[in-house]
Amino acid sequence: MLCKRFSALIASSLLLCALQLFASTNDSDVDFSDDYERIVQIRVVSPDAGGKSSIGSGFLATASGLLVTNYHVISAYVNAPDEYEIKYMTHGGELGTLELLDFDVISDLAVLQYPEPEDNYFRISDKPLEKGEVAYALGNPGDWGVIMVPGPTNGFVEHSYEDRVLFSGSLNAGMSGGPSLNSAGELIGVNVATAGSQLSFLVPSNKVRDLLARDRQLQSDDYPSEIADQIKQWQRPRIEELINTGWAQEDFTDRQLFGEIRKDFQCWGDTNESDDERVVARVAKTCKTGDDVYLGHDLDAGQIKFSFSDLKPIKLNRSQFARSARSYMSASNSSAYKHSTNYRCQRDFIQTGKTTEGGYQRITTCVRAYKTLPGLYDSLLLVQEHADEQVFEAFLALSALEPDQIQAMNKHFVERSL
Amino acid sequence: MNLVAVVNQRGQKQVQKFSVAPHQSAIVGRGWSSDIVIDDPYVDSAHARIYLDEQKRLCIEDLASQNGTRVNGKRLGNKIMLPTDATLKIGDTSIELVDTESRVPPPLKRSPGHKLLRKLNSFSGASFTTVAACLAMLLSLYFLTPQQATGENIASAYIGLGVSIFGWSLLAGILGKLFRGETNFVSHWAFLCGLFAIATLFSYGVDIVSFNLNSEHIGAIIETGVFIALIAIFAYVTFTLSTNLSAGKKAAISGVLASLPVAYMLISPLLQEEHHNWSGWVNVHQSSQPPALLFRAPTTLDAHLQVTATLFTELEEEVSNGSGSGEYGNTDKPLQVSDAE
Repeated sequence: MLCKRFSALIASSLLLCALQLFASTNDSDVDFSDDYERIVQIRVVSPDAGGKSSIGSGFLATASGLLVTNYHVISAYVNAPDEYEIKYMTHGGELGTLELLDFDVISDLAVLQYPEPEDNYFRISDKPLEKGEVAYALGNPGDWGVIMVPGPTNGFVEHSYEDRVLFSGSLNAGMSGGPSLNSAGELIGVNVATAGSQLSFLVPSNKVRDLLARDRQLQSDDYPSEIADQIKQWQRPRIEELINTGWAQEDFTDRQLFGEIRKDFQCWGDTNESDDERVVARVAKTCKTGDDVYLGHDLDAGQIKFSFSDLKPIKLNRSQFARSARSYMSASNSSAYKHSTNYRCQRDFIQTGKTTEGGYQRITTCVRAYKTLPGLYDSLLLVQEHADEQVFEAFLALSALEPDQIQAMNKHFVERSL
Repeated sequence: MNLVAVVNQRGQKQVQKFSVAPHQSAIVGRGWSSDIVIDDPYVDSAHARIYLDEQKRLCIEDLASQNGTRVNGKRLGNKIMLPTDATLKIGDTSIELVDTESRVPPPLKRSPGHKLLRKLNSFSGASFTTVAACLAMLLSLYFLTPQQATGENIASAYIGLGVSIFGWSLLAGILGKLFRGETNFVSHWAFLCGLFAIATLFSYGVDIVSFNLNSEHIGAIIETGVFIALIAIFAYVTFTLSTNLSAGKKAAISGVLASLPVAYMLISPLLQEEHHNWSGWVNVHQSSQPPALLFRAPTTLDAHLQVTATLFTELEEEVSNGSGSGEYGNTDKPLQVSDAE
């Protein structure tokens, strides 16, 4: 479980990935020699410490010198603008300072101001991306200079609410924020993450176009509220749509529940049936979304996760069984104490038509607030139905939502679970 | 007149024979020439004199000693007649005077477990056992909180129960020894079972109250009450009723025991905070046993949601206040230790 969470975290950021050695290939008939010069290495450095905190790639996207990279490359700066500076290093080795203009935490993009206008920039492709179309990912990982990784694109990632291009090529740490081009040399995406060998993800280029079209210059004091607003704007339709779609029924032991309620949910089932020495028959199912919004090395948000579990005693008497079934729940996102308050919980016994004689239903809701993102909360919900010979639990974890949406989701979830 | 002086110096007993006659008195003191020699720095070299008066009654006289003499707890003014079963207190030493003619009670039969219990008698033994008991309790907490009902977890829960009984019995050993001066093993277990029963009843009581009064303040009041009671019991038992330990050591042991709950009270919010925020884990710790006495009427989902809505406003206040409110105030910055680095 922890492992899964961890791997999801790793996939969400190239910077956290282990560095892989590979050979750069350039067997295409396309000439990218000019393009190398438009790639810069971006470093977030702490002047006090002298060292670099994170490194990634960026590229020039307009004639006026706007430079695009990933949000996660410069997130350390956004979280502490007073402690860090954003620096660049060109292909030729020139160094300088960049100014952050705008960002999009949902798409994981950021726009920076390059000191001088530059005619030599990447044009954004107008053509829709075709499955199988070859893309050329460029980046400046570490101190080896600019490299190019060619590979086929495979359309959009299926289990994702946000559009992500699936790219069969080995993106590496430090290539984050670099451009991916089609054979005409036009921008089709921005390198963003990898999930292992030959499995990488690109932010589609229309997101870059939208961000550049906003043409804004954010002030560093507004960063937290801007992040909160972006998350709220993203979450509202996402959750509303979820509540309004009929959740397709799926059997879970002897109940009618639900599972992959939208394309961005993936479910896993688990049972201990094969364990000969089991004393309790356990059936469990966990579903969660693939979207993690990376906000910092110790903060991510936006996941939705729910699970069901059903326990029945096999070799235990009533008292032993009741003793053995203890409930735990955990947050689906990671958030350190400096970002979140502690959870506050409300526990209640509830009565529905289904409450059996001698059994009870209990509902526990825990919420915590984000200290720096005003109006956003995480929530945990645990519904327990205890009978003499059966314990059923339904759990829902929500991250970075406004109170009304948490309440609406929780209500809907409880009604559909019991 | 032939007499025996049972000299008891901090639990170490020593028997000295002496005799007094009409013109032959006995000197009690630190000097080597005394008839009853007491190796105690608070005793004069010739501290007191035991003699027979004209009517051949046994008397004692303080020889103007530095720290004085007590007879059966009363300070000796000048000279008095000694009662039959007198106990003298000189310095840190007590002396029991017995006539050699008097009867000696039949020997006690040594009970099983006596050896172990005898070890509890010393300061280091008591301290060691206290620490061992506390460790055993902590270990049992670890064992008794399985996450899933697997075979191993249930086995470990039983191990935990065993460890917890062991811990309780060690504590009961100390309490039994100090509290009752008891050396009988069976009686100890009876005592232990009584303790267990009281503890269980108490925890049931707390459960019932907390089930039915779902208020954070009630929880805090109960908690504070429990801790104050624990501190009082520890302090009372060790300080006033322990035997054979000097006042300083009694105070030390009571202090350590009494500080344990206080330390726990101070540390537990930190552990909780760190636990919550380090990995994002939240432990919804609630007993899975159906509540036997549920006075609080079950509510509806909508009512639950209404109360939940107030949590958001509370949290909003906590964030805007920065430091948090009320009881959360002191736990607001639990990670200062790591922040400071």
